[in-house]
Amino acid sequence: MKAVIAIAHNTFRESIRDRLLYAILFFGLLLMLATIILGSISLEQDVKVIKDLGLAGIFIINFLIILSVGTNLVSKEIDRKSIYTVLTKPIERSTFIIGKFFGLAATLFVTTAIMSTVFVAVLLVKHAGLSPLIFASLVFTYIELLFLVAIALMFSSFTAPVASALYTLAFFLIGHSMTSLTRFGEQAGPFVRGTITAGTHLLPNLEKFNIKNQVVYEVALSGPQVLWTVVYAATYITVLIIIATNILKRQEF
Amino acid sequence: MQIALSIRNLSKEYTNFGGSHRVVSNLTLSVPRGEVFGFLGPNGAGKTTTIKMIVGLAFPTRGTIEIFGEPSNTRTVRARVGFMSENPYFYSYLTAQEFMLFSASLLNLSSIIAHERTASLLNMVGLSGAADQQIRTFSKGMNQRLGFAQALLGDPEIVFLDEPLDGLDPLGRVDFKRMIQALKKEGKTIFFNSHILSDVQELCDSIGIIHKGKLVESGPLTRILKGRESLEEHFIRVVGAKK
Repeated sequence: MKAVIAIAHNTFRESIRDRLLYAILFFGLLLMLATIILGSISLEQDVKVIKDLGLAGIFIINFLIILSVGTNLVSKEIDRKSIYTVLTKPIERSTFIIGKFFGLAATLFVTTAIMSTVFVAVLLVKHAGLSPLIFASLVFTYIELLFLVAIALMFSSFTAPVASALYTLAFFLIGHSMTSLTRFGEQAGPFVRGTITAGTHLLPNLEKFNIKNQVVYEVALSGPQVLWTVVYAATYITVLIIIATNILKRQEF
Repeated sequence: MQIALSIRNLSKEYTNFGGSHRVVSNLTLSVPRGEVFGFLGPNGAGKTTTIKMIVGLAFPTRGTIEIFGEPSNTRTVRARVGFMSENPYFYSYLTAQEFMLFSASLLNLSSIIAHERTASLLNMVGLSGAADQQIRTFSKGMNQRLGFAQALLGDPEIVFLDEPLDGLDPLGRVDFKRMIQALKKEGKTIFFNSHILSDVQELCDSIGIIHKGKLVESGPLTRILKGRESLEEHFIRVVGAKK
C-alpha cells in the first residue's frame, strides 16, 4: 500500500509540475469565462448555454490532459528507462500500474475541482441557481475521466504514446456512439447485427456518464441509475487495470 | 565461502519474424560474497542483458539465477539488491531529495531512516548541495551519482552496476572507484559491467569475460593475469582470438 501511495504521489507531483498541464488548464479556464460571452449572445438561452458549454468544457479539457499525460504514463517511463529504478525494487508490477492510475486520478481531481469552481462561480454570477444535478454531472464527468484514464493506461502499457492516444480517442468516440451503433445494427443483416451486439456488450458505453441533458432540462436522477453507473465504472476500471498489469508483467526491458 | 550470486546455464533468446536470436548462451558463473566482480565483454556481448535478467527486467529463456541461495526474482531477494542502470534517467521534475525519498518508499523504509540515508548518501556521492535541485537540470555525471546513491538506499548486500564509470570525467571516475572500494570494505558484493579495463583491474577481485553471449573466461583476476600482462592486453588477446 505504501508503494502504491508513493507511485501515485510521484505521478501526481510529476504531472502538476509539467508546464503542458498549466497550458491546457489555462485554456480551460478561458473557456469557462468565454461561456459568459457565448451565453450572452444566445437568445434568452444564456443559462442553458453556460451549463451546456461549461460541463462540456470541463470534460474536454480533462480529456486533453488524459491524451497528453495519461497516454504517456507507462510508455514514457519505458522509453526513458525510469521504470528500471521502480521495477527492480521489491514491489509487484501491479503496484506500479495501480499507483500510476491513482496518480493521474488525483491530478484530474485537482484540475476538475479548479475548473468546476470557476464554472460554479460563473453560474452564480449569472444567477443561474445551483441544482444538485450540476454537482451530480460533475461527479459523473469525473467518473468518466477515471474510465478514460484506465483505457489510456492500458494502451500505454504496450503501445507508443501517439498510438495510445489514438486508441483512447477511438474508444471515447465508440463509447459515445453506442446508441447510434445499436440502431444501425437493428437495421443490418444477422452477421453485422451480431457483431455490433457483441461489440456493444464488450466495449464501454460512455453515454451512461453523460447526464448533461438531464442537467440542462432539470430531469432528476434515479438512485438505481447512479448506483448502476458507479458499479459499471468500477467493474470496467478494475478489469482494465488487471489487463494493463498482465501486459506489464509479461514485458521485458 | 558463501556464494552471493550463482548463475547456471543461463540463456536468453529473442524471437521475432526473422527467427530467434540468442543473446546469452549457457552462461554459468558464481560470485563469492564480499567480492568485486567485473563483467567484461565487447559491445553487444550480452553483459547488459545478463544484468537485466539478474535484476528482473528481462526473463531468462533457460537457466537459473540465485542470489544468496534464493531465486533472484522474489521480493525478499530484491530487497537485498541494489541496481544502477546504464545511463540512468530519473523523474525530471523531482528534486534529488524527492527522488531518493520516493525510492525509499518503494523499499518500505521508515520516514526517519529514509531521511537519514538520503542525506548521508547524497553527501557520499557529492550531491548534498544539489539535493533541492530538479533532476532535469542535472549533468550526466550528476545523474550517475544519483543512480549510485539510489542503488545503495536499501543498504543492499549485493549491488549491480551497469557501466557505472561510463561518461564520467576523470575526477568522477576517481570518486566512483573510491566509493566502490568503500562498499567492498563494508563487505558488500559488487557486480559491475565496464569497458574501462584499467579501472576494472584496479577494483576487481575476479572477472568474467563474455563474448557473443558465451562466457569465455572467469575467475580471480590474479589467476587470470598471472602478473604477466595488463587486463587490457589479456582482454584483447582472449576476445580477439575468438573473433
